[in-house]
Amino acid sequence: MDLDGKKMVLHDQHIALGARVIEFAGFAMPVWYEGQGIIAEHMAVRKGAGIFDLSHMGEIFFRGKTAYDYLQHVLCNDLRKIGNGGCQYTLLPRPEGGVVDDLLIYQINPSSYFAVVNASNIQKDYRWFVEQNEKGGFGVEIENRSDEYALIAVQGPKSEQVLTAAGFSNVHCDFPFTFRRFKFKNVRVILSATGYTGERGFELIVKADSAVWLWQELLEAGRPLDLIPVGLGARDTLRLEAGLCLYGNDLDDTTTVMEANLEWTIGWDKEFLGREALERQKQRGVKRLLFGLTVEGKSGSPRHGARVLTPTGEDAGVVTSGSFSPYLGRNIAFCYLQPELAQEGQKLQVEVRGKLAPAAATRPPFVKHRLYKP
Amino acid sequence: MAEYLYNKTHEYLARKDGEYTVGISEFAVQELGDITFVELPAAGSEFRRGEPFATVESVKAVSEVYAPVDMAIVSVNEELAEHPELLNEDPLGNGYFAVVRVMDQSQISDLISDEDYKAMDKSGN
Repeated sequence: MDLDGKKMVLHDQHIALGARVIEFAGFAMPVWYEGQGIIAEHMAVRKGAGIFDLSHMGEIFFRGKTAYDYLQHVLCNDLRKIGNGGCQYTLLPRPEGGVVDDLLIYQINPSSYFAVVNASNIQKDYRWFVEQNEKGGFGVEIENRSDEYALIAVQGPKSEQVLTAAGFSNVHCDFPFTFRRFKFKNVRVILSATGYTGERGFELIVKADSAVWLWQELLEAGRPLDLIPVGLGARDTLRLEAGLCLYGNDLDDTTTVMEANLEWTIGWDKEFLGREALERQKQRGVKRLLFGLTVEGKSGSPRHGARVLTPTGEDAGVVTSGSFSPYLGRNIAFCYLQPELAQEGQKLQVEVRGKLAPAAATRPPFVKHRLYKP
Repeated sequence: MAEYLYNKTHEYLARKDGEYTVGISEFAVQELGDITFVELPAAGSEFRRGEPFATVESVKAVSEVYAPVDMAIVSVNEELAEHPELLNEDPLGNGYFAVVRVMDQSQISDLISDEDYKAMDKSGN
């Protein structure tokens, strides 16, 4: 296998754990680990805990008196919904309503923020941020520090136990979308109650030179709790079940925030770049809407680009992400549908390798989020 | 005891008590990971050597399965279609794809022996 991908700081750890490695967004990434596989890793996160290396993700920092005003202008979600120590899922809309990227924005205080962005978009986002800063004359100090930081996630109902066993005192994830700056054994860690799985858990941001140490500490402490490393394969099946978008599949520069069914991220009480286009779509309606579908009976998985039809064979839409769902034991997909067909239970057909399989429209998430204690 | 012969694309032809079965190697299964779906051909259909006769789907990938020799499908393993995980558990046994009739016996000698297959450098596939 030929691997030109940039090796991440934890590369040797993954190899030692038996990782199957693929190239993703220019990074050499573990896709699953030998002796486990995607299904076992997926179920570990649903039932126990899994640890992910997400060091490929980008970290961009914003500083200055106008940081808040600037971010309110470039991001569609409203920062007034969060305070210091809060973070928020938001998008970077284009003036025409398309999506530059989706990301998490973290507020340290109103003049200091950072964003965690998709690996494949680090350079693109950074350029976009700088360009808008200049255009609007905001004068915010913007820094791409992606190479400096590593990100490790612990996800699943046993996440708190894992962190406690590792020596974190007093940790919980009862308040999703909040973060704390932590001194853990003298190393500075940003501990964020966030994830991409629909389960309780944490994302830990550390300086890259502490990543190997932190990974080992967590993995060792978690072993008696059946914590296992989880690769990119299960990360994708987990997020799909949880109904969370993947940029490049379900979102891109041409899909608008309204079409992506992400109106809930739009702060209609503020002005922002792309607002006019999105407002027009809200008034006139969209021509396609991101929705889910579940394939009925046994079949292969519908994959990106597969056509979706009505039961009578008329065009209904196109699949953007599809996979076997390990938790549900059936095939599920995200698809852009004609809005009138985006109704729970609507009968459809989907193309699976050239053949049509019966399917039903399903409102995501396919698996309910369990961010709060039962 | 069944005798296993392989081709370079990791399918096997097994001979036991004068009956032939086809399937994919342990190595192939390890490479694919968790199998979630197997599509089998219809009994009676015929395939030329190198032609795809089945597909295997794992969580992340779809792979074609190629006929190791010219062959006719006598019967397929219905159990495998129902329980694709059999392929992960027992690729050389209960995870076989089909019972076949070999249409050109001379092609059998082109296949790789079990011993040679195990020793083969499989990287680069």
